[in-house]
Amino acid sequence: MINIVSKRGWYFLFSALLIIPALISLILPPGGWSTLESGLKPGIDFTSGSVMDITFTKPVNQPAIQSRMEALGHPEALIQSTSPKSVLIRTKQLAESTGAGSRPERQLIQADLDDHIAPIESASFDSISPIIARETVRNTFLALMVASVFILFFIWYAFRRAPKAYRYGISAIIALAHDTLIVLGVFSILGRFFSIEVNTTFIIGILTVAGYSVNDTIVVFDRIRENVIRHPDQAFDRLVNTSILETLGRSLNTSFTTFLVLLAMLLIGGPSIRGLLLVVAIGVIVGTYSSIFVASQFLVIWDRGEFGKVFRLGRKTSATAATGLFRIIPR
Amino acid sequence: MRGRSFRISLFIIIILAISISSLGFTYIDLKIPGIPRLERGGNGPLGLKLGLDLRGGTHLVYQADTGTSISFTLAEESSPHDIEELLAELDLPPFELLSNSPIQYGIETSLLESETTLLIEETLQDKISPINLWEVSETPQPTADQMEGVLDIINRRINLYGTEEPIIQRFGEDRVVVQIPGTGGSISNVEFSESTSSADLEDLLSRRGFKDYSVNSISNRSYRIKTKSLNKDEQTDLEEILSTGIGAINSLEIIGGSEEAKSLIGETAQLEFKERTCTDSTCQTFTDADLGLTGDNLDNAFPSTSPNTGEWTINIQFDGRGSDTFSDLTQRIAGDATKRIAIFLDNEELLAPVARAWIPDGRSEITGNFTREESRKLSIQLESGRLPVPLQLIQESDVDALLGSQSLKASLLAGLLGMSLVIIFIICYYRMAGIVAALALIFYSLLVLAIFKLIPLTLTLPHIGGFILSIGLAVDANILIFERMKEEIRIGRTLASSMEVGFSRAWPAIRDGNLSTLITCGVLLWFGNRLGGGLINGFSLSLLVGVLASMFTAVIVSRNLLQLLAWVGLSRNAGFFSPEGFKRPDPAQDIIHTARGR
Repeated sequence: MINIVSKRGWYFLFSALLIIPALISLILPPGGWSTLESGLKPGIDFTSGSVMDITFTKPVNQPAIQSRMEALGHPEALIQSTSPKSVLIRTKQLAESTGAGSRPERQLIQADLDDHIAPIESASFDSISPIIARETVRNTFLALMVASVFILFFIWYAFRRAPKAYRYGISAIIALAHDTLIVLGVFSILGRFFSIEVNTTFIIGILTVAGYSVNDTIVVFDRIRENVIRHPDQAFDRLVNTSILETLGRSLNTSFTTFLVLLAMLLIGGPSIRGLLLVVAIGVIVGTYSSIFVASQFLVIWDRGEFGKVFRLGRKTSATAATGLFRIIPR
Repeated sequence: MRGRSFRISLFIIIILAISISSLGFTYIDLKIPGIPRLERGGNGPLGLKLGLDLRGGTHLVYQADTGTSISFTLAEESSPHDIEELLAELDLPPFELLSNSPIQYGIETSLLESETTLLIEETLQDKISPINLWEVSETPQPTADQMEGVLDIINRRINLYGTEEPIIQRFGEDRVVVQIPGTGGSISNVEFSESTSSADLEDLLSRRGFKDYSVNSISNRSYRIKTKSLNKDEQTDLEEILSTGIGAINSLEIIGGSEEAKSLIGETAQLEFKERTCTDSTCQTFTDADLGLTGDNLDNAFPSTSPNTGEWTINIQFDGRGSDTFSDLTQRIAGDATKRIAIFLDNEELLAPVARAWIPDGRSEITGNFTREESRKLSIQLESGRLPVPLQLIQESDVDALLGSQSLKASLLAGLLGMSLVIIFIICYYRMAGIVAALALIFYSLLVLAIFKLIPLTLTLPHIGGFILSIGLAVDANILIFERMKEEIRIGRTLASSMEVGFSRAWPAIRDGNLSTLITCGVLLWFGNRLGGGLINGFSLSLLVGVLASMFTAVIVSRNLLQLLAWVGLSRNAGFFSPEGFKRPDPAQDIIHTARGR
């Protein structure tokens, strides 16, 4: 029987190694907590501006488009190729009209590119003002906080037959915070080094990760609850260990099937959902990990009153280590 | 037990039949009096309704333009930089400083208290320079009725544009969301020198390989042709096709569809009063004469009940010039049976009342057996003609129809491939039970799609995100049940009883996990409704439907299928349920358990 619980210090060290760089990247300028942008490289959904997604009828080159945009008075334009024939052009928010009776800027730009670069096959357009951008971030953040509080109380209630039920709720929320922080951190770092932007699909991703994280934690906790009620005489850390092992098959299978879906989407799904996929993929790994190695271990530490001792890494705690092999026979 | 199981099976089959038939048909007409015909259909696969991001169109969010704008002229020259710095210290909401010259400035910001504007004035006078001219104009928060007026006008205009099923909704207190499908393309307004017919045009276009176009006739020589968006070459082609196929072209203007829709919304409504002279006794035929009296002359319009009769009436009050014109008019036509006052909104007749008496003060009452609702609605329409709330476009998203259909195809393929991979894996791993899970999963997907269609829900990418997460949760529920079953088999239960026990052991985890997801959905929906965008709403709504359907599937379908399996005898061989089979603990014990299980 593998003893997972005894090495709990290591898991916290591992999580800390992920979270500390995440926090540093989130807090350091540019960005920082005050703007709620948190070092993430915000797309127009969070800043404001316009994005044109243009597909031409033949391959085009980026510098030519850049120089056209400069000629049109948009030196700030960022041009990104998404395929040989298509580009994303990011600019500040384009004006609805540049003077009385004139056409909107977007039309002028498209007509110009159609003339000078290549005929346009299709063009999509997004434009967001700062009002909406600020709100989206603030509301998502608030929604997650409120949802966390509700979930905490729900778990407290659902686990009322287990002793000290509130601990399950708090541990689940800690795992949730752990997962969202790591995903945010990863994207903050990716944004710094690879210019990966976060946009509204990122928000959908974060919500998906949050849902997955809580669900996964509850499955492991459910087993702990069952074992604790059935074997009140057993040591808590042993029960947690058994519960983790008993749910391991399910955890791995569920993660694996989720990965299959993600893989299928990655292979076929368009570029618009690729960002979402990356968020969810990271979230699934972190979410599965945190249910076993953060939420459950946190319960053990709380039970043993070890908050001060967490960093005595890997030191085998007596009882569990001595009787490392044990098995609870149900019924 | 067996009877119950068959009843449940029947129930499942009925639900399945309803799901499949609702996906297959676009309307249900029972032809029973009193039950209206139910229409549910869209243009997506299985008749689902697709959102703009999946089929192309324009999504616009407008906000009533409230706020304070101050313009002032300084006595001495100053720099915008100095003023901006000074204002930044005053702790104002985000503002914009405009400057025309070193002495002329403007401040645009959200609605300010009068003390705050006073503070700004004093600070500028103290620190910068004396002020020569100081003007404050305020646009307050619109009332609910005003917003309704705005919706009414936008509705009118979009319908004028003739697009299919636009969605116009109020969001929050002061926002309007307008969704116009199919605007991603181009609109070609063409006028031929000779008259032609729509049929000829349509015939020509389809012969020349145009797909998904529509032709609207404006007159017998001019037409509006909606097509996919045309680039420069294609525009030249179209011109050539039309001129060679139909005849000489007087004028051809090709614009983007979304631009036309936006310009329509942007126009202000025009309310006009005209003098009507009837040329027959029932006033079926008439002539209208301009009076120069428009919505600009109207101060307000509101519903009330008449003190004498208790009838609902509409009160209107003209401004000074309007009152004079109205006074002249009523003096001239009062009591004249052939005269009416016709009121038009955007050239569409609203009302044509008779003037009963001379109204010298511009304050009049229109009666006409109105219901309370009618009088309220007409007042709003009159008011909206007078002063539409100024709107500011705060978000725009245009998706090209081509791109939309591409991402739909990609999502569908990805979904199908994902499902197939999951089914293959789960059957390889859990064998017989995996087939149960696969059937449950297919049932689940059909059920969710049918619910989406029946609500009806307009599917967008966020909906698909929520749906995919809920598929994950549905698969997880099955895995939880099977893992528990395996455990029960390992300790020596029969397959039949393992199924029962495995299910009831797995249930609390499924229930609590799904309930917590439902809570999250609830919170997100609550927040989503206060947000201007449908993003969070879409995600959480489809997740909500998905989770409910997944619980139903786990409790009813998976369980019942497992029971059926047990009874038809397929559960005798444990190898059917796991690749490694199960180490039967002890043959003797197995017999005892089997005996007990029966």
